[in-house]
Parts: sequence; C-alpha cells; structure tokens
Amino acid sequence: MAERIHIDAARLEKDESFAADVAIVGSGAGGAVAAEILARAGLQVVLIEAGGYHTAKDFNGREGEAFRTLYWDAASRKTKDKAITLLQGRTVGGSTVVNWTASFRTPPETLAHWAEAFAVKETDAEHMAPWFEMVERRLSVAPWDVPPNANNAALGRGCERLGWHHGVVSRNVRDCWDLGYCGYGCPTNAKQSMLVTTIPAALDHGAILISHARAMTVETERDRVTHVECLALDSESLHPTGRKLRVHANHVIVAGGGINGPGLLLRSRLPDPHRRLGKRTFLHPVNALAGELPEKVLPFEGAPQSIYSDAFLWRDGVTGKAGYKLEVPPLFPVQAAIAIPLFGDVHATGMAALPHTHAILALMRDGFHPSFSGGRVLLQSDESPVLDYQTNAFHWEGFQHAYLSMAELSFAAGAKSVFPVHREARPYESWREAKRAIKEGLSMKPPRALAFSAHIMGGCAMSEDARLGVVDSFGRHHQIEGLSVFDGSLFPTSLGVNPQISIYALVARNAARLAEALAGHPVGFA
Amino acid sequence: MTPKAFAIICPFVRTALGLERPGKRTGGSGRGRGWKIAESRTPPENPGRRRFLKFGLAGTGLVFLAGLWRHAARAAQRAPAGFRFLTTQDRRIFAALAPRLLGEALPRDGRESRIAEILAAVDQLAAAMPPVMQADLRQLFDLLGFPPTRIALAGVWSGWETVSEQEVDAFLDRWSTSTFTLLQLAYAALHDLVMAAWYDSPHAWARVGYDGPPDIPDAVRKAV
Repeated sequence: MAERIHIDAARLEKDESFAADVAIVGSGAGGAVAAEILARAGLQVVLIEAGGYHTAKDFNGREGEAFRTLYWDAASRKTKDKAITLLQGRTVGGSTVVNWTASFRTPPETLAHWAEAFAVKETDAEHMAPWFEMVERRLSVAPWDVPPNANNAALGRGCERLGWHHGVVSRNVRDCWDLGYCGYGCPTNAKQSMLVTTIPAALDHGAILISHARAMTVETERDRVTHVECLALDSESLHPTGRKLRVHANHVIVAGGGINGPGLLLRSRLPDPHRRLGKRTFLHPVNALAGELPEKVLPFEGAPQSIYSDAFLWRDGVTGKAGYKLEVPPLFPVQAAIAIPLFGDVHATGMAALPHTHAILALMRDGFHPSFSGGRVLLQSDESPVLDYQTNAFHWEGFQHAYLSMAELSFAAGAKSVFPVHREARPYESWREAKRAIKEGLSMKPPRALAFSAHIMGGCAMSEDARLGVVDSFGRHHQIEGLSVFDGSLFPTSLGVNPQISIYALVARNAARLAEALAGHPVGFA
Repeated sequence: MTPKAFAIICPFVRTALGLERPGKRTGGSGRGRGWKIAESRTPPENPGRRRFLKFGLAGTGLVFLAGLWRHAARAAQRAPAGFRFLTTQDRRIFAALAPRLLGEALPRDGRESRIAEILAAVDQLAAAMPPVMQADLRQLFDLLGFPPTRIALAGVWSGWETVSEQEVDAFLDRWSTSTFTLLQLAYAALHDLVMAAWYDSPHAWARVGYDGPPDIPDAVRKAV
C-alpha cells in the first residue's frame, strides 16, 4: 500500500507541475470510480478537485456550514433565468458526499431509448447488469430494511390508500444510524460515498489527490491531449490564490459533473464540429408539496429517502407527457424556510408546523419528449459556466399534474392541509380546494413554481454518431485523442431515477475498458 | 406605481440584477478575481448582450450612479470591521427587512442581538458566493440603498433606518407578487438570505421543534 498523497492547492506557495498516466478532473461519482479502477491497474492517477477535503470529523450537521463548504455556490447555484435552484456537491467525493443515498439502476426503458434514439451501443440492461451488480456490491447497496421514518411512511400510506404503486428505496449504507443528515455529509461514515470507498482505495494504490484546484482548460496538440491547466483556489474554493498547477497526462478524464465538465471543455475551445457540447443538459426538474399531518412527523429525522412511487413515471409512455417519480425530501429548518416563499407571520406559522409537516417531491423525466431538447451550458463574462434551461409547455403540464398527484396523495395520507411549494399558493384544507387552486389559481410558469434539481445530467452526450454526441458509447471524445468524459454529463437524456448508480456502473465499465487499453491487462474493483 | 412606469424601469432592473449585464461590470467585490486564466481565444457567448444594448443603457447609468453613491459616501458604505460583504448601508436594509420577513418567529426578547447575528450570517453566506453572484447581490443592495432607486423601484419613501413596519410589508408584498419576474427574483434573493441566516441559528430551533444535530462521538467521526 502506498503512502497516501493529498495536496491541498490552497496551501501551495509556488506553481507546481505533475506528470500522470491519467489526469481526472472531478472526484465525484464518475471521477472517483475511475480513479480507483485505473490506480488498481497500476496507472499513475492525478485526481483534481475544486472543493476541499472534508471528512466525517468536519460534518457537524449544521445546514449553513454544509451549504457553504460542501455545495457549489453555497447551495444557491441557479439556472441562467434564476428559476431553478441547482444542488451540486463541491467537495472531495462530489455530490456523493451530500446525496440522500437513493440507489436505483437505470430503468431498462431509458437504456433502450438511448440505443434507439441516440445510437448508444452495448449499454442495454443486459450488458449493464454485471456492472450494476459490481458497484452495488462495492458500495453495499441494499433495500432499506429499517421501518421508514414518518415522512416516508406518509408517502407509502397515501399510495396504499389510492392503490398507487410504491416501493422501498435501496441505499448505499453500512451500519447506518438512521440519523437523517445524509445531505450535510454523513458523520458516521455509514454512507458509502466516494469519500470512504473509492477515493481512499485509489490513494492506497498511489493516486495523487489535489484539492482546491480548479481545472481551467484541457490543452491539446494536434488533436491529442497534453495537459490540464489548473488554478489553485483559496480554502473556500472561491478565489484563485495566484498559484498555477499543470498536470501532464497521456489521458484526461473530465468528470466534473453537469455544467462544470461541459464548462471546462467550452473554456478549452476544443473542436465541436456538430455543436453538441453543453447541449442537451437535463435536470429532473423537481416540484414539491408539503402537508400538515395530525401526528408528529419530525421530517428531519431518519433516513431521508426510503419509499418511492413510480405510479406516474411512465404515465404517457417513454416519449409522451412528462412522467415523474415521487419521492420524499427531508425538511430541515433552513431548507423548509426557503421552500416557503411567503413572509411574516404566515411564514412563521408554517415553520411552527414543521414537526407535523411531511413533504413529497416529483422528479420529472426530461429529455425524452420531442418538444424539449434540454438546457445549454454557456460561459459567462468571467468564463464560469452557467446553465440556460428554459422550461416549456411540456414542463408546466407535468408540474401541474404532479402538484395534483401530490396533493391527492397528501390528503390520502391524512393531511389536514397541503401547501404546494409555489409563490402564489396558500395552505389548502381540502382536496377539492387544492385541486381548484392548482388547476385554476396557480400560474404554471417560472419562477412562480419553485423548482429544484440535484441531478444535473447531459451536456457531453454519448453516441456512436458524432452528429448526436460529444463522446462515443464508452465516453471517448469523438474529435480529441486521449480525452474521455466519465460522469453524468454522458447521459443523452435524463434517467427517471436518482443518478448515482447509473454513473458508477457506466463509469466502472468505461474505466475498466480504458485501464485495459492503457495498462494492457484486465482490471476491476478488488 | 403604474404599470407603465414599471415598464420603463423594468429594463433598469434587468441590468441591475445582472440578467442582462453589460460586458464590463461596474464595481462589485468580484472584480479581478474571476475565472479568467488568460485572454480568451473567442469571446464567450452572451445572448443577452444585444438586448442589453437595446434597452439597458439608461439602466447602466442608474446602476452606475448607485455604485458611485456607495463609493462617495465612503464611511457608511464600506464593509465594517468583521464584515466581508455587507456595507453599513446594506446592514441597515437587512435590519429593517429581517423582522418583517420573519414575523413572529423572531423573538421580542434580545431582538437587537438576534438581528446582529442575522446580519453576520447573511454576510457569511453572501461572502461564500462566487463573484458573478456577488456582483448581482451588490447591484441589488446598491439599488435598494440609493434613495432615488429605493423610491422608484421599491416604493420605499423613508430611509431604511426610519422606515415603518407597514412600509416594509407593503414593499415585500409588492415585490413578491409583482408581475415582473425580476422583482419576484429580487424578493426571493432577500427572502432566502434572511431565512437561511435565521433558521440556521440554534435560537430559531425550539420554535420549529428541531433539537439540532446529534452529538456523535469523535471516535466515530474520523476520516477513512
């Protein structure tokens, strides 16, 4: 076992350069899985991360601190029109450190659609099954066998009474204490995020981790990668310190996630003859509803997501009207206070009801319906990336449908009143009153309905056809030698499920193939 | 204010909030600390620029004036000791807004210290945002602080130190229900900052039935 090497770029006092077989930009679900597999193959890996190296001893469960230290833009990142809030991890381990552990395989319908509509090969359910099994074993994924918390139980109860589908969520945890703080960094190391699995394993196999380093450009010579140019950032990951880092590599893997990865490639001004880069970015836009139950819910306690419903996921076929997955968000004070767009005593009254409040969210499958081709990543005047994502009638029909389903579900679960998270909404005390308000009262347009996304996907879509994608079915760039994209930005559409397992499995497959090509022998996880 | 007057001011606000921003930023703490590594080889895409040229010149002037005013009244406009982003003027704005945004959630007892804590937390949060977002906040706060724009855009006639509760409520009501998306978004920015600041405080928790994070033994909380 090698001695672990972590370089905190915030502390560098001079410019540095490194030489690697493989430079990986981003240490989240994509980059960290690739790092372990490639390091195990005996390749010299350098893993570059814009965030800091925060671990369980730093995770104190405080919302504000977690937002500032573990999320991009203090959890205030937004689409260009500021209508959708985007939650993305910015820390060693990326969003896997702050996700809510929901673990679903990519739906076979989605994989089949990719093959059919986007010329993606060898990525159907049968080809992917062994990779799903491998990552599920590696990350201890199993159905949650503890009784759900009251917040999730309400979703299950409502579905039961309405005769709607519902199921138990699988989670990537070991010896979980059922605390509920997954979104602020797991304080007990129960969550099998990249922070406690693939990253330590990669470091033990000689990978070098550089934190607080922002990859600015991937440099090329005659259409072949040469190195990555990085700026060292201060300890808050905000401002460059003035120190530069250069990582020479035979192969570069872009794994900064949606928005950041396409942003890096846009800044690099690489060939993009079919103008695909940054296009087709999808979000699983989420709208939500809260309901007040007579009994205590304590929506901040216990595993945040344990029950889900696919009653509406494919409601109009794969490419029809917006389908959505119903899940539950935890409600902590800051999150809840932001989600109630009102002010004054009426806001305070809503907050006082927090212990009795349950919540539901609808995660919309975008990217399948022909009327919407996705958002687009642009560079702002300071070269930082921003997502231009403009909702259309497809979304608004879906949001309205989802508000109705969630209101009906909440009343079926026993709610005394429901509150659609919408700027024009008030609490409604009957299903009939809620139905009328949602159908006739609440305007279905941004930013009236509060929308969120924690699943930023696409922007470097895979396809065998260079006119349809930036990379091929195994993540290799169509125009540049030695460049791969290994993260959620590969997806040609959204998924219809929380993305972590899809990213792990696809990247494990792609990285194993790359490792074999670079090292000359087959490899995998231990 | 009449819809027509709003329509005239709206482009100002657009520019002010950075949705259509001039190529070069005025003021803002983000200056010179951006993402640029070198001269770009091709200009970044900026679809808003053309619309800005068409409508935004007057708006830039106003933002510029508001910025100039902030710089001119130096003593009051600098971030005071211990603050990284909020100026003295910004603090007056938030000291007036916070009690009305929070309503009865803000206890009467020890109100002054609670507001001081909220201001510190708003400052901490704003300071953690990237330069582009900080520049947007800077422009919003300057427009609220500069008396002509405070009156024209927010409809607040009194200065923030003497403003009445009714006047603040009317302002929040107007912006939160405005037909202009930009004013709604500006309301949301103020709302979210104050809510995040207050509800992250242990002083806020008892009222919402939250005990705070559990104590986890250090032996468990260790790096892997």
